Amino acid sequence: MKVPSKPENESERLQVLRATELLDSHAEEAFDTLARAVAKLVGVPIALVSLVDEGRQWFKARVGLAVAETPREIAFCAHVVETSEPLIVEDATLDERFSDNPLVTGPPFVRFYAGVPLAMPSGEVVGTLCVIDRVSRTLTAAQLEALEALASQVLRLVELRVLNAMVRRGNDRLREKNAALRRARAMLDAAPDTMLLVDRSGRCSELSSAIRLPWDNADGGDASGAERTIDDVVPSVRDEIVPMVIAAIERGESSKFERSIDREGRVVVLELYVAPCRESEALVVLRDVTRERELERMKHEFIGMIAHEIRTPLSSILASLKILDAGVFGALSDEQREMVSVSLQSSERLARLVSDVLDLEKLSLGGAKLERSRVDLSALCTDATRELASLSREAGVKLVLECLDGFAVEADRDRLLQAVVNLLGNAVRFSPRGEPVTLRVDAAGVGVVRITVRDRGPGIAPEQQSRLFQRFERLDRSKGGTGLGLAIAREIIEQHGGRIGVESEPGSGAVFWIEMDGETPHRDALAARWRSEALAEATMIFRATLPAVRSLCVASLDAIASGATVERGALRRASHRIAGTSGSLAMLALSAAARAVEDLCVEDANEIDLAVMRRAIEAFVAQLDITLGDR
Amino acid sequence: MTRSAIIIEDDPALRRIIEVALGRIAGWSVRSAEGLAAAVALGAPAPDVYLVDVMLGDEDGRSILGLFDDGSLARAPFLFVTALVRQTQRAEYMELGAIGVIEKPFDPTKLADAVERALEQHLAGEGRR
Repeated sequence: MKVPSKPENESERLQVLRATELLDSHAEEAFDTLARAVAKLVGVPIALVSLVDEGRQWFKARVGLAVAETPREIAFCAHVVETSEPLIVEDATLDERFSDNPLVTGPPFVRFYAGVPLAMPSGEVVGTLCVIDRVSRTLTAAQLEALEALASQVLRLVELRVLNAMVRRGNDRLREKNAALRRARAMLDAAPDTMLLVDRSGRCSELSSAIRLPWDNADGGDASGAERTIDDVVPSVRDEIVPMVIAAIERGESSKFERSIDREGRVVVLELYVAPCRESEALVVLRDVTRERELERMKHEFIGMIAHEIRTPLSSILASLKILDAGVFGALSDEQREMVSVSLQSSERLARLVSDVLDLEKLSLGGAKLERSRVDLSALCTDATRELASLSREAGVKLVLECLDGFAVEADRDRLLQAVVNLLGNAVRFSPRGEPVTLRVDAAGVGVVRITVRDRGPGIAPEQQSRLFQRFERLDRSKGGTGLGLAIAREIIEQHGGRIGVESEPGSGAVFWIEMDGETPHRDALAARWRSEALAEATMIFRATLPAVRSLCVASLDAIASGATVERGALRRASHRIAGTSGSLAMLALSAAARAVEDLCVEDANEIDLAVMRRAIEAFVAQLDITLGDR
Repeated sequence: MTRSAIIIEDDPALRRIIEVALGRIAGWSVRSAEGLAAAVALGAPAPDVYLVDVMLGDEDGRSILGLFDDGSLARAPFLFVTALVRQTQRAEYMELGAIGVIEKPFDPTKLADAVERALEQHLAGEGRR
């Protein structure tokens, strides 16, 4: 018996076969009718629509046969699948390929077999349409032709099946997608925000709508379907939002702003959040924040009222205590004075706290608008040091102001002054007695003003620096601050669009800085300042070294006089150090003298006339004395 | 020369403090009223200076100008007493004709000096005219 082999395209063939979803399906009248027709046409008892998979043939339709499938190795049809050609066996007992086939030697005792391939449009043969008889016979050309015609009908049925399956699968997917879309839509609708897609020109399409939009009809849908712009949602907001939409589309930036609108006679505060979303559109989220803003306003009003109610009686307490303290009603005993002084200090601290809380509330409410004008920083810093005069006097701290003319910013003068005073007060409170606090105005760049406050206090650890500008963050409660000063300063500076920060290393003081856009002096003036400061610093270092150099020279002179060896290396290094710096005329002369000494030191020791060297050193020392005398 | 002042202040505690600050400490002759109507009731003579709180309960301290104009209160230099003000507000009060603004809280031991300075400055200005 010849076992049929598998065609070259077996795996594709199996794939196509499975896609038909015919294997092991229920019997179908259309296939059965075709099988009956083909049996009648050829005049045989058995007709089959056979499908061949990996290991068997399975009959989609069968006439005159009880079994539903047979193994592939003994299937006649498998030979058709192998060759893709019709197979006609007139007498199987006489054909060596089939004579010992169990289907021939046993039931159904096949003698005659004729099968034509069922080839899919793509070429794969999935099975056959075949007829079988228990007696040998021949097939006429006309019968073969009819068989092939009916096979093509079977194929058409199979293709329809495939198409149907595809459509059904597509439908299933669509249904799933629809369900997912409906879920997403339900989520969007349940969100308390309105979401819109807005393009560069301000045209918008609605994603979800929590806020009733002007064009919504009673059912909440868009009645007209006309093209909308963002102005239809929030009146005249387009000019403001379009640049943000462009920033979101082009640079992926998100931004946020608020708008109050009149909706049916009620003021509604909307927050508009613009976020990058798609290539040509940005997502705009509209949130009704009316209630939040109202609550914030009430909170601020409440705090303001409480603070005011505390402040009024507190001022009276303070004033009364000051009157007592001043001895208006007679001198106080030491004990009385101490108690009055304790009350006074505590009341003052309470008053400062109340005043700071009020300030911070006013600032963070943003209700108090900045009253900007051109503020000259030299005058402002002078005022700031004046305000701190008594506090710094009590603390034994000297305030040093380093400012040039020509620094100015556009700012609310009162507020900026408060910020600087807060930084300065903080520095004074943390300074050890006798150490200076330096307030300096400098340029951080052209058009960028930098105000720094430097103290020589204990410094601030890095992990504490970030917390420093938060409310009620006090590192040392004994220092008498309210813990709000730096928070207020930050609020003020940030409202001005500036930056504030601190640089410090524990043990070496702190530098609090403010940077704001503003006017800086002409660069020549800045350069002159920096040069003179650098020179002053160099001079200071230089002068500090002179006495040491002088004693070295005198020791050398003594050595020459006594005939001992001169330590030339040290002498040369000393004079070299002086020759390397320059400055005032006296120092220039000193440098020249130093160079002369150095030249002498370079020569070989044996060739130096010690007398020449002595004169050079003497001239050098004389010059040193003049310079030292300058101090 | 002993100065005379009329204090118009609705808060009794603060009124008493100003009385002490000007009267007891500085030795001025001081009369006080809790409101503008009460000040009118005090009658003659006119003081050297009025100290008027801006917020007088139901009354507005700035109405003192109207009382000067209709003659119910004898005209004299006046200072406003008010809680923390901004520079712009201070300027507004000065434009109304005040010779100074006393900011609450103030140091009672220095109040008389401050008022005296404002008064002298004002009188010097008058003299120049």
